[in-house]
Formats: sequence, C-alpha cells, structure tokens
Amino acid sequence: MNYFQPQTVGQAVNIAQTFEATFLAGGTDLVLHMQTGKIHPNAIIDLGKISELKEIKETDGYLEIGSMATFAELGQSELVFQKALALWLACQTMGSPQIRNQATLGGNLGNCSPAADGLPPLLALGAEVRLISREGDEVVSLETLLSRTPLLSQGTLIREFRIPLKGLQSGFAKLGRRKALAIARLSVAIAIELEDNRVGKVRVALGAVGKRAYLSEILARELSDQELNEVWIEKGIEGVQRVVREALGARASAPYKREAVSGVFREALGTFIPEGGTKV
Amino acid sequence: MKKRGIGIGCAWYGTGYGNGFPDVSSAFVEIHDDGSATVLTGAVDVGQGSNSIYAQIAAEELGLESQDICVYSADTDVTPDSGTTAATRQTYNTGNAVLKAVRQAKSRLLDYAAREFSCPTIEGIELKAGYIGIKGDPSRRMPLADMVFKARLHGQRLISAESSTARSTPVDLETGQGAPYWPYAFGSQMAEVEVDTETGMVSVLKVVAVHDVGKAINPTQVEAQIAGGVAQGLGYALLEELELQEGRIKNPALSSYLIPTALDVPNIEAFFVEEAEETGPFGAKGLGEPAMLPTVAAVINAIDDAVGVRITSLPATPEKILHALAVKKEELAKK
Repeated sequence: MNYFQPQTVGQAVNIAQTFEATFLAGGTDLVLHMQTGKIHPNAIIDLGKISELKEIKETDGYLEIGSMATFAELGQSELVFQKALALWLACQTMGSPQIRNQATLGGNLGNCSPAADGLPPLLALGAEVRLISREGDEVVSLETLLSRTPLLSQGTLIREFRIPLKGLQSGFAKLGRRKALAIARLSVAIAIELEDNRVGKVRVALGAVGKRAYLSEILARELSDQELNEVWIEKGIEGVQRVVREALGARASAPYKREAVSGVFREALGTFIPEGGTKV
Repeated sequence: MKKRGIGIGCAWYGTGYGNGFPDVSSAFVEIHDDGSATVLTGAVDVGQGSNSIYAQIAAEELGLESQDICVYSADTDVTPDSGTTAATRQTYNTGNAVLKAVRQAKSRLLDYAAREFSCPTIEGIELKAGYIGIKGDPSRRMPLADMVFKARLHGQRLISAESSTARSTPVDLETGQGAPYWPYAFGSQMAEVEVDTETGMVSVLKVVAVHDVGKAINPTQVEAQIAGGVAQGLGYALLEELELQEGRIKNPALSSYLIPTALDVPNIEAFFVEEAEETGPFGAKGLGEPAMLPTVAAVINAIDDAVGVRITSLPATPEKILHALAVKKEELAKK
C-alpha cells in the first residue's frame, strides 16, 4: 500500500485521483476500520502536513474551520467558544482527551457515523462545507451534503467548514452510557435567534436517531418566532419526543430514546439559556 | 428532573478457598551477609501490591527496611507454589507463609548470635534498625550484615522453606455445620447518587467506604485497593453487562463492554478499621474482593432513595430505571 504525505491541498487532490487513494485525517476511525479489515485502501494520503487545513479563523461574516482542526484545538478555541458554543460543547465531551487530540472535524464528517458528535452542532449553526477535487471547489450546505449518497465522490477532499456568523445562540447535549469514551446514543444541538425574550429562527439537529445526523424541519417550523418561556420549552420537548418517535419507529432503542430525548433537549437548552435546563 | 439519594451497602465475606479445600501458600527465604534478604514465593502480584506486602513483612521481622528485601514472585521455575491470586488470600495466606519462613531463617541467626554474644537465650537477642544485639544493652550490638557474614564464615546458611495452610473445614451437608472459611472480612459503604428522571442516567456523586482489614500493613495500598474495588463495584452496578446471543458474546471489547472511566468515578473516601486478626501476619487479612462487594447494594439503595424504584437486575441501566419509573407512575395513577 502506498502512503503519501503531501504539503498542499493541490497535491493531495491530485494524488487522490491518480491512485484512488483514501484521505487520512486523525485516523481514529480509519485506522480501526483498516485493522478490522472493514476497508482496504489502495493508498493513504496523510493530510497532517498541510498547515492551511488546520486553521480556525474569522473572515468576513464566517467562522472558518479547516477540516484538519482537531477536537482538542476546537475545544480550546476562544473563537469557537464565542461564536459557535454548540460546537465547542460537543468538542468537550467527544471521546477522551487522547482521541480529541487526534480526531478532526473533517474526519468526523468523512466517517459520518450516525452518532458523530460534531455534525449536529454544525447543522444547527447552518454550516457550509467547502469541498475540493480535481474538478474544482464546491461550497455546499452541510444539510445538503448529508443528503448525498455517497457522501463524497472519490478524490473529493473536505477542505473547511464555514459557519455563518449570524449571532445565533447555540447549545448542545449528548447522552452516552458513561461520561467519557461514550458513543452518543442521542445528541441534540439547538441554535436560535434570540432577542430579549423573543425567539426568532430555530434550528434543531439530532444525532444518533437516524443513519446520519439531520436537521428537523418540523421543530424549526413549530418553535420559530415565539416568546421564550416555560410553555415554549415544554412545546419543544413535546415536539422533539414526537420527532424521535417517528424517526425511530419500531427500533429496539425507540422506547428508551423517545423518552430520554426530553432530558437531552432540556440539557442542550440549559447550556445557553439559564432557565432552559431546569424543570419548573 | 435530577433527584438525589443516599444508600448503604454492607458485606461480609469468607476469604481463602474455603470449604476444606487445601489452601496452601509457601515461601523460601534467605538472609544475606550484606544486610538484605530475599523472599521467593509463587504468589502473583497482579498489581494489587502483594510483593510490597511480603517485603514489609520480612523487613518488620528482621528489623530492616522494606527496600532491603528482594521479593521474587511468580516464577514457576524457581518459586514455590502459593496458589492463585484469588479469593482475597495473598496478604493473609501467603503473608503467613512468608512470615513463617522469615522466622525460621531468623531463628538460625538468633541461635548463632546468642552464642556470639554469650547470651544464654535467644529471647535476649533483638533485630532492630539494621542491627542485631542484646535487648536493652546498646553497647552490645553489631550491624546485621556483619553478624550474617560471621555466621557464613562459620558455615551457617540462613535459609528456610515454609508453608502455611489456612484453617478450613468442609461444611457438613447434613447439618450445615462447619468452619468453611477463615478469616472473614467485613465492610460497609455509602453512596450518594443523582438520578435524571428524564434520561434515567445515574451519576454517582460520592462513595464513603469503610473496611475491616485486621491490620493495614500498607495503608496507601489499602486506600488504593478500596478505591479500585469501589470503581469496579460502580461498573458492576451501572455498566458492565455481558451480552450473549446463542452462546456468543456480542460485546467482546472494551468499547462495547463498558467499565467506568475516570470521569464516572466520584470522590471516594476510604477508611479502615483495624481489628487485629490473630491468625494473620501482624494481624492482617485480605481486602481484595470485599472492597467491591458493598458498592452495588449502596448504589441500588441510593437510586431507590432518590426516585423510589427498586432495580432488581444488574446493571441498573437508564432503560431499566425509566421503565421502572413509568410502571410506578401507572400504579400511582390506578390508585
């Protein structure tokens, strides 16, 4: 098997095309899949030496996050904390310190596990993804990208995430079986426009209730443009339970998850609205 | 809603193989002319610290420091069998064998030293702080190493082999009478938990653990062994579950067979009671398994105290707790 370590994005994309190679980001999923024989790459392109892919910066109205930024870097970034709290929170609890040091946001999307911790916050925050291949650049909303099968065509590299800075308040909570090294059994990310006590647009994304994380249109419709109060919170809880019930159908985990999501939703609200986390 | 509760668990536990099964430990000891000693025993130190215990036992008996003792263990080519590291038996059972062996080697040294010091009885000889001499007469003493050196030049070898067999008789199947175990260990723990009534998740906030160890030969190890037992007990209570399907294990990995992580283990306060076990080495007895036994009961009782449901199968998963809460709610509605 060939192993490449290009210095630039252009080189990486060229190699990917020529050798039908697989991109290696942090490797916390890919290497395990190789060890268990789940995948057999023709060649590996290690993206670790391409410094531009690691950048986290603010540029004209966007928070730009390179695909090779690690969960540890994101979780320690003041900028991410200020502008994208939901994502920052997800980066605190994903895996363990060792995994967060290694795993990247781009890898989280590339592997696209149903329980991927990074995706619900990005969805809720309305993130776009910049892809690059030999055919050129493409900027696509994460929501659209997650509806594609396969997610990415051969040779396409996830270059960066672009979170529009629209002043959204956001929060995140996940339910695992334990407090660290826990795969999400449920995760909820919420982003809202909030002015005084008035809620504008609302975006709720769910993880681990489908094949991929997704935005709930129903919840956006039912919860947008209202007063923020106890009634609104209970309406959200009732709604999210209904959405999860419909999404999971007769799956074995359904009876538990459709109940438990209320607590996860409430906790996610509580991460950014003081009154959200407590049941009156 | 998050609700808190407190629970208590108690345990008593017979240590050793028990029920008349021969429970034998052995040790070889040699006292050297550089003021050190070696202990050979088959007992396996799997991380619980038995090697340190044997070094301390030998050092105490010889008036040396534990770093003066070299313990060779678990080498089947050269060490005498001391049974398994199981049944909470290595401190007590092998500890006794080591103590017997050290005393046997030491008695030869005492015989020789009594003659050297023209002391009428070995009772008058003491080993203290690296010296051997006449009790109560500091002017008549010499380094232990020098005495052993002299003894060696006179052809004496301070070596010994001993074994120790635990007391145990089979239970009479007709009458139920007998003394299957010796000794017994006792412990009690309290747990404080917080239960999320919406997700069923249990967070353990604090555990206080008190154990009767006879004599804490190494208090730091006792604390650590209690902490380890509590952590394992928490996993037993809340996480560990072997999932079987047609006899095959569905979760044969630590990514799917979950044990607590550092974040899941709360502050543990460990205390021990020292009620000397007369048959044990310097009054000590085992702690390994007893440290994890009360934890499950303490946690399950604390869950009951917090939310009023009784979980009767382990682990107490969030699913079981939510289900029990729903059943309870239904029953209340009927009334």
